[in-house]
Amino acid sequence: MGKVGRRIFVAAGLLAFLFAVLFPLYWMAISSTKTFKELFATTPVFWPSEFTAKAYKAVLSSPSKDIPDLLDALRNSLIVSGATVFLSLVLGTLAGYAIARLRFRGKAFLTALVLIVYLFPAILLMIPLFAMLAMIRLHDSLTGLVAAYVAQTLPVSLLMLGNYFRSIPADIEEAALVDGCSRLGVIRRVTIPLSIPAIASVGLYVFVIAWNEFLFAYVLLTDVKKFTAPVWISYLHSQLHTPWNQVMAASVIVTVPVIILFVWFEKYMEQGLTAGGVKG
Amino acid sequence: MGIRRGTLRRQEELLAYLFMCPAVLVVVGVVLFPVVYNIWISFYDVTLANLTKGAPFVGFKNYLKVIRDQDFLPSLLITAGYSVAAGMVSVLVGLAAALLLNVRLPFRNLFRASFLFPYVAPLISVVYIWKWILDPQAGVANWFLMKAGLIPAPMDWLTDGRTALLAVILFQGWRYFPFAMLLILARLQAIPRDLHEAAAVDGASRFQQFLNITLPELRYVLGVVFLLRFVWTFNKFDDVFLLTSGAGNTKVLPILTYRYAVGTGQLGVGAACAMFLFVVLVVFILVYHLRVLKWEK
Repeated sequence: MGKVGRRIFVAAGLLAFLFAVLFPLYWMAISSTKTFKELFATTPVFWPSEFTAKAYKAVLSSPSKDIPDLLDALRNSLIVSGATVFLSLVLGTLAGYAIARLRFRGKAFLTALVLIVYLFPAILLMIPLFAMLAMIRLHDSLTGLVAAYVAQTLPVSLLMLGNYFRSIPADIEEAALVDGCSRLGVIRRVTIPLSIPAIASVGLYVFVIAWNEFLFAYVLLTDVKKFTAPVWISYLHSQLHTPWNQVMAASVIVTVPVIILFVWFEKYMEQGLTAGGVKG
Repeated sequence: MGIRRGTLRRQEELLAYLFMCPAVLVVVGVVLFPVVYNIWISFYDVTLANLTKGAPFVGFKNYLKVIRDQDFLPSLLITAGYSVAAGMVSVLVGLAAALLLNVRLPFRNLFRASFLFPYVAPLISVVYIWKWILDPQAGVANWFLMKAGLIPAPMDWLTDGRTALLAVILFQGWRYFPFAMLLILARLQAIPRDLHEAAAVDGASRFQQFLNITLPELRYVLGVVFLLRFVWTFNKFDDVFLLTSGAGNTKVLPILTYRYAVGTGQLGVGAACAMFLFVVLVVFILVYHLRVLKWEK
């Protein structure tokens, strides 16, 4: 194969990949704006003759207060993801700093204790977690969900932040210590400001994990008003006649924030993807 | 001075324990204790009704119930088989994508960023996109395949026993190839250029270079990515649950576990099933680690 032939081969391969990845995305967006007639047309409509926002209106505004709409679910998702990011970052920073900078007995053991989370799959934790939370009446609450998510994301936070802290020259911190700063003061005024890129990476990564999570939310939450967005959408889908335009509209709405985060913070996000793996 | 240094040392240690404490507490409370509690549940007849009242001890009865269930053995085999297949598909598709992206091309970063979409989008969205594309009545996939003359009549891909498992495997290849791609690409770019240049001078063709230089350099990363994908697929509940809910020969072990626990309310039996899943997985990881990944040591 000559040089030109090789180039054509590579270009064709890349375009095939691009089609496989982007066609589903296109089909989701286009289906969400179709009229019912064109949505279920016997010959698929690839470009609608008229666009409608009906499906978006339907998922975003519920007819009555007792039936939550997607906005309520998005609010729950935002609360859960925000709390998870905050707690995972705080706990990850403290533990990561201790492992990177402080000398103490049992360091290897305690580090392994946190990292061992990787070993246990969500499906193994599902039943005991449900039973435990049911006993203290926290199974149908966003609090229980946040606890589960923080534990699931801690190893990544700890590893990524710890590694980053280690890469900061110790001299800078020691200078501040000699100048009379306390350890906490050093962390607040020196270490954290220097670690903003790592903290942004971990924060974004943890946010996306919590935002996308389905299994724990589905098993733990039973009250419709507490549903996170993914569970709400699965509920919408489970109706007798699936309103596909609405399911696609809701899918667009939960996907857009993730894509925006990715486009804006691509470099930070990729670090999370390879360092942690989504464990799923 | 010596005494002062001693107290400083102790202060540092105290601070370290204080810093580790919240993380360790969360992990013990929400992961380690539940794992132990799961073992306990698996030996008791725990149901949704007697959860807070003290369930009776039943010994290995829950485990026997799982083994005697006619769904169990097929489920174990299906889970193992489809995890191998889905792992291999993700790795091979990821390898193809990584090789294509390793060529100097305009818009390379744009291509790479777009390829990440299946992996980072919320599972719920991508599952429903594919369910809609594969819909037996109005799905675009059936229309296209019939137009191309590949199938005579519309198919119900996700409930048909002949196609459902294949559809799940292909879905997972589509969703998880970017993970393999990123790791393989990172390794590809670390291969020194002069290796290829020297081989080219010696008259090796592109394909020979790939077989004799690239592939050996990638062996370890391919092995690790396959292991991770296998393990994560083996445990995977939500993909299969949302795609097929266990229809058409896709009743994998996590689905079986869920059905015992939530479907019939027998938490004890579900816990025993989850223990089988976990033990099989640990044995596999140990063997794989010793047999397949040993070459690097």
